[in-house]
Amino acid sequence: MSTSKDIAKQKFGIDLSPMPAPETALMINVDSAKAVETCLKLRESGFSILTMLTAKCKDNGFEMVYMLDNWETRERVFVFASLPAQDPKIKSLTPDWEAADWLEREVYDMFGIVFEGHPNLQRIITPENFTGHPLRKDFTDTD
Amino acid sequence: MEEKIRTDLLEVNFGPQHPATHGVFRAVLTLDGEIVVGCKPVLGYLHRGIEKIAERLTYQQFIPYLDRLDYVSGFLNEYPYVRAIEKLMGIEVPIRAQYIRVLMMELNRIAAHLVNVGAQGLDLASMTPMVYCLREREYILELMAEVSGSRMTFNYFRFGGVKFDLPEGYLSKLDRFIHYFKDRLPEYASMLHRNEIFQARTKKHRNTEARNCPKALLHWTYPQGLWHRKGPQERRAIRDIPHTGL
Repeated sequence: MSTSKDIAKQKFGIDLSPMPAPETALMINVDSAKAVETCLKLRESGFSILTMLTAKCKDNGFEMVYMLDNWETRERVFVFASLPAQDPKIKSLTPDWEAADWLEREVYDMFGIVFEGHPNLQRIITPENFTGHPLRKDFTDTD
Repeated sequence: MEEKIRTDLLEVNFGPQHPATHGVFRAVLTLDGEIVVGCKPVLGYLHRGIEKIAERLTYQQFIPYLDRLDYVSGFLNEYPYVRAIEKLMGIEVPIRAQYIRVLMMELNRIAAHLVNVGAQGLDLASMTPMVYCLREREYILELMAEVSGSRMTFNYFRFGGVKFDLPEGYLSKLDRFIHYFKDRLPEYASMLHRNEIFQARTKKHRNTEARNCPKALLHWTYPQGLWHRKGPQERRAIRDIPHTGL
């Protein structure tokens, strides 16, 4: 059986590189405009499970993290996409992959990243009257 | 003759104080008479901002909080954090400590499964298995407390190892427990999966439509091929991603 890594390379020309040791997963850095497209292509290559979707708050902006799994070949891939610190926006994965729905809502709630095209982008964990996005580094306590 | 009665839609909050939701979850239900026609889940009642707490603490100070993420599996929550820090720092863990960690995690896993098995019986109106499961769980909690000093909030794993070595004579105690527990398994079988009520409420309830539903396969986290095999595809992190190094 050919691995999903090979299929992604042959079918879509997506070059997956290994993570730095001791991690065994694969990874790819993409432009934020191409993140959703890449995830969908990887799904067709066999990474059919969206295990995790989250973000990182860095000094100079944000980074989206998509973690996709193939349970049959036991492969795992991380898709990283950088976003600017001011007004971070990215296309939503939800219309094409509904498993991303609540995950994107959580990232919106915690980091304030706006997912364009999400059908119901509301806060999911914090109360409705909450202001700010708690996992941003510049967030200060509300109390 | 069928009479048409006009009904108004009614919005009802199910939870968070309803006993079935344990105070952590609310479902906004839309009712048409007695039929539920809509449901909007509202969550976050138990979100404690653990990540934000972690930002204020040193790395060692955060370990006790991990036991409280999920109180039935403290060791299993401590491990990924401790292991991640070790990987970042390039710390090599002594083989004895690795074995102790795996032993503790496996004990913890059995204890957590006992809660699951017992509670499933409880939810299907079979009270006895819960009592039996908690009896065995108590045995395990005592074993874990002997090592770590606490029944559920262990605070035992450390970067590069564990807090204490195993007490003297511990392995023979473990051996006794394993034999004891093995003999209890037929009891669970007779109470649960050979129980007629339990079978009637669990057997043949798989949604067979999902098997041929491309949308379910594509959109939700069903792996390709899951429904085409005889049973659900087996996924075991312990075997597939042997992160403990053993």
